[in-house]
This record gives sequence, C-alpha cells and structure tokens, in this order.
Amino acid sequence: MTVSTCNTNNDNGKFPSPCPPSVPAAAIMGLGVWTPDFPGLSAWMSRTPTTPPAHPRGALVPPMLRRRISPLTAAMMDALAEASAEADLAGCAAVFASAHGETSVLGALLEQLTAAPPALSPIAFASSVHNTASGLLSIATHNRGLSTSLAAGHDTVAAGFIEALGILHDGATDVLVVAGDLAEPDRLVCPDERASLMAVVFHLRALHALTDTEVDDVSTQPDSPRLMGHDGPQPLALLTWPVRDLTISPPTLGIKEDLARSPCVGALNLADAVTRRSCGPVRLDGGAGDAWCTTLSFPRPR
Amino acid sequence: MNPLTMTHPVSNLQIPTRPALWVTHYTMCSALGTGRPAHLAALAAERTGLIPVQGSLPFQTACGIVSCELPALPPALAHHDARITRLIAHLVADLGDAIPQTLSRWGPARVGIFVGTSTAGIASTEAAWRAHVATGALPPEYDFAAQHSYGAIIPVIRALTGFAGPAFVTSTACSSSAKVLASATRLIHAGVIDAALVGGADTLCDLTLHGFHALGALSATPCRPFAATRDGISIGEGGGLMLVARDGEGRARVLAVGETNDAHHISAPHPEGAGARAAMQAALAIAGVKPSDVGHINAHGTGTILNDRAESQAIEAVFGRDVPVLSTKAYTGHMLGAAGVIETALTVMALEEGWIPASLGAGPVDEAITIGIVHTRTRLDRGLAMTNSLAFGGSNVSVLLGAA
Repeated sequence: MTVSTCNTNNDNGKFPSPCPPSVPAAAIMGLGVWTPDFPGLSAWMSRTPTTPPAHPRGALVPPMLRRRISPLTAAMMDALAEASAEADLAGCAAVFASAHGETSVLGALLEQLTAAPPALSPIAFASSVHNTASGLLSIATHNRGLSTSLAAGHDTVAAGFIEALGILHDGATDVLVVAGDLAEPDRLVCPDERASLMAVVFHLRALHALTDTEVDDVSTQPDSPRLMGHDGPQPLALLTWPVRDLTISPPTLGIKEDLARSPCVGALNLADAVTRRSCGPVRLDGGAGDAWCTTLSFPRPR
Repeated sequence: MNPLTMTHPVSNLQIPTRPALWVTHYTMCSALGTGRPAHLAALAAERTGLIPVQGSLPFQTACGIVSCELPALPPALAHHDARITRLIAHLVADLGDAIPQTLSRWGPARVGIFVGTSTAGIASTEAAWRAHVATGALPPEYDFAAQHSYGAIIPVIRALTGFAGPAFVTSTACSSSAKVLASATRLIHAGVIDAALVGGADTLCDLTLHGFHALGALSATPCRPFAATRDGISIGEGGGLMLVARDGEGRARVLAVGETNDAHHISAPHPEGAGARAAMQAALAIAGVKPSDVGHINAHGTGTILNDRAESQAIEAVFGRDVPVLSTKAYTGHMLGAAGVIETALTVMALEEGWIPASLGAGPVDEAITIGIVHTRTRLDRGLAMTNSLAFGGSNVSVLLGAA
C-alpha cells in the first residue's frame, strides 16, 4: 500500500489529523559517531576500541574558537563532520540534544567561584550555556537559520527527534540531530551516575525533499518501503515519528557500562540499528526513559 | 505562488502559512509578585521590583528577587526539591482549574510540555558545591540528576498536571522560554498534540552574578534599558507558564515565532542586529502581516550598550521609527531563560488591556537609539504586538501575538 506522508497533509491552512505512527516521516541521509573508544563510524560498526582512547578534535570549529571548546562540544563537532557529507551546513537546521549540556565548564566555573578571591573566566561563563555547541556551529558554518538545544533526561534523544521532525514538518528540508553527553564533574555526580563522553549525529531529510517520493506504510510492508523515482543520494534509512512502546526493550550494544549509562545512549541504539539495517522499532533510551521508539525501514534499491 | 505559502527570509523555503494558536491561560512570577494582577498593578504604577543586593558579593548590583514563599514539593517529588522546581510548582498551582480543564478537553497524551531554562537547578548545585568544598561531602539530600539537570523539571510538571504528551526542556540561554512557543506551535501544527503547557524558569545564584560581572555586563544600579546612561543589566529570577491550544476561548493568539542565529559571536550580539532583524522578519512573513500592522514591541532591551544599540537598529530596519517600543527589564530584571515567556505574557497583557507600559528608566534615551521608546503609559491602537528574546550563542526569537 502506498500512502501519503505526514509532510504533505498540511497545506490547506487547517490543522491536520495526528500523524500515523507507522508512516516514515524522514530519511536518514548521514550518520556520525564519536566516543573515546569508537571515534568514528567504522570503529563503532566493528566495535573495535581505539587504543589509547581518543580525544575529540572539534575539527569543524575554526582554530581560534577551537582552543576553548569543551570535550562535549568537540565530540559533537567531530560526529557532525562525519554525518554531514550530504548536508549544506550553511543552510541546515540543527537540534542539539544533551541531558546535561556543558557540565564540565560548569564544574570549572564552580571551582573559580569558590576560590579566594572568586574570579570567573568571562569566556568560560559565556561558554557554559547549553547552546554553546549550537552557537559555535552557526558561527563556524555562517548559518543564520534555525537551531535549538534541548534536554529531557533519559528521553533526550527522543525529544531531539520529535523537535527535528517538527522542524521538517514546518517546511525545512534538512535538519541535523546532534545527541551527546558527558556526565561530570565528579564532585557532583555519583560514581554510579557518571557517564562517558559520547556524541552521535543524524542528518535527516524531509521526504518531500526527495524527488517524487512515495513511501510504503511500514505497518503493512515492514521490510519493503520503496522510494520511487528518487535519483538523489540514497537514504541510509527511513524513520517514523517516535511513539511510546513499553513492549520494546533496548538492544544489547556490547559497550562499557559508563557509556551504556549515558542519557543519550538511545542515539547509539539507533546508530546500531541503522548500520545493521535492522527493520522495526528502536528504543530511543537505554531503559530508564519513557520507552519512546522510532520505527526504521530501509529503501529498496531501485 | 500559492497564497497560503510564504518565503522564509533566511532559508528562502516556501512554507505554508499557519493557523494561529490560542493562549488560553497564563501566569508568571517575578520580583513584581505572582500572577497577572500583581504584574498589571506594578506596570501601571511604574514600580520596579529591583532592589540592591545585600550579602557577600564583592561588587554592587541590583536584582529582581522572588520574595513570596515557594512551598516545598509534595513528598512524592521531594527528591526533585530545588528552588526552580518549587517555582514551577508554584506557577502550576496558580493556573488552578485551567490544568484539569485542559486535561479534560484534550486528554493527557495530547498535551505537550515545553519549558525553557538557562541555568536549571544551579542554585541547588552551587550550594552543594560549597558544602563539598567545606566538608568534603555533598549534602545528603542533593541529587545532581533529579535537581540540577535540565530535564528535572519535566517529571515535576508531569506529576502535578497529568499532562503526558511529548515533553522537553529547551535551553538556549536567554531565548529559552520564547523558543518553546515555536516547538509547541510546530507539534500542534504537525498533529502530534492539540495543546501544550509552555514556559520556563530561572533562579538567582552567585555564579550567574559573578559571571555577568566578569563579562563587564552587570550594572551596579537598577538597569536602564535604552537610556543614554545605561551601563549594564540587572539579573532577576522568575518563571512563567502559558497554556496554548489549537482552538478554544483564548486571551490572545500566537501568530508566528521567528527563530534565527546571529552566526557572529558566542556572547556579543551582531553589531547591526542582523540576526534579530531576520527573526522579526521571519515572524512577520510566517504570519503574512505587514510591519505597520504591529502596534507594539516588547524588546529584549537588557540595558547593555551593545544589545540595546543592535536591537534598536534591527527594529528600525524592520518597523521604522514609529512603532512603540519598551523593555520591561527595569521592572523585573533580566530573568535569563524565563524572560521570554514572562515578556510574552506581559505582551499578551498589553493586548488585553489596550495600553503599553512606560519603558522604565529609559529617559533620556541614547541619541544613537532612534526608535520610539515609550516614556509614559501609551494607548495600544493595533491588534498585533511582538516580543523579542536575544541570547548567548546568537540565538534570536521573535514572537508575534494577536489580540483575541
């Protein structure tokens, strides 16, 4: 059965009906992964840890700004560089999703505040806001369009996709979902809550931006959605609006405990399913969230 | 061109024009008090809530402090107890029957929750850090994830309201709680939800005051946005909540939200306000209205030399010199992530009441600022008004509102 997508039903100036959760809402055009053990997609796919663990470079950021960026922002920028081969970074919307944001910068500021006398670094203070990475990306890419920065605990990744799909529904053709976290400083975070650095980036494209696209309903044809008449770069996968489904369990990723604890580990769940071309629902949290899931399908080669 | 589409001024995309959302209820809490009546009275009397700060600060400043008692959270939510969650709970309580009415009308899963904050549970974290420095241990009641984290507000709101739709916290510094209006608008238009609780909160702490002082942006006296003698901001704390829905008995309409980036500097505005100008133009274009339809602008107007000059240039470029402009920062202080929703609520109030408050402390206006700053209570003679929120990271948001 071929059905219209959510993105085409709202051009009459009236409010639409709820989006059918089984209909793909966007295509994943690019994917980037950065963790100290897996500093890139190929390392992630092979699950071969880099020795010694890597440090993020933040290569997308101009050198003058790069010297001062946090590990989280640097990791996000490295994953962005890998995911954005098909993206126009100067015109692409971006959603940054991080449960904790720039807490490593916050820790440094609190150290400065409690020193005698207190003397805060103005640069560190200005870089302590959650949207630091979002602002730096816009500066680095001269992008004056829309970007945002959000958090939702263990549902942060799901929230990022919900916001991103809303932006695509509103008319944007491309949006980057940048998920990442680093749970520190140690003085504030209990050992059993500390989570290692990670960043995963998905480049989403609206289906209406893929030429003459028709997409099957994945509830009736779960393994054979077709992108008909599409001549551009092929999507890695298609995904639906997230819905809650407590019957879906998080996958076993075979990663260290401190990475599995990350509030954004759901992004690795999705990266794993995309790279393994695994059809069906994927849970966007590690088990501690509200069980938001998106359903993946894969375009059949023409 | 399809008459139901517009050209986005930044992306050049053809975007369908959208039906407006209704603001069905709202409340706010600041140094002026709690709720609409307290804020209306203060603005009518041109009374500031800013007071000199006493205490251990090694510099002088004035702040807007929430002085009412903020009751502890219910026992089931005690692990989330922090000043910011208490402030949010206080606002939920002030919305009263509007919460169950919304729940009954739309159903729990069809009401989203989108709130903004810049500093989250920083007040609790700062106290916990100081305790750790002094004693080597965190206070036993401190919980980083449940009290400090940005998302900690969400389970508190869910438990107090029963709203079960999509929920997240937006944190884009001083535009946070204006940006959530865009998120709610998008998801209602997409059919994902029918209504949303939007808003935000931020609380005072030493870190924020020291940080703005380090930037050289903090005034020693109550701030004076747009004035020739202005020398910086005054920090305030506060919060606001607003119920919006696709239809209903509304107090005002959210016509459009324009969002842009400066792409210029992490903490300084574009010198000519290019990003702010584009945000205002985007909001006008999305709503399909002319600049001359707008009768009032509640500016971001922080009181710093650079912000006020850049924003006034942007306003003049879009609206000319005649549109009446005020900043309410001299009443409340700059409430950071909470400023957007509270200033949106104050703009709704202006549309409801039909008058624009005086821009407190603005006279004599900087000669370089040539827009129409209002010095006395002024009649609002058109049905549309706009409010701007401009933030660190270059994040700009303009909310266009219409009278009911």
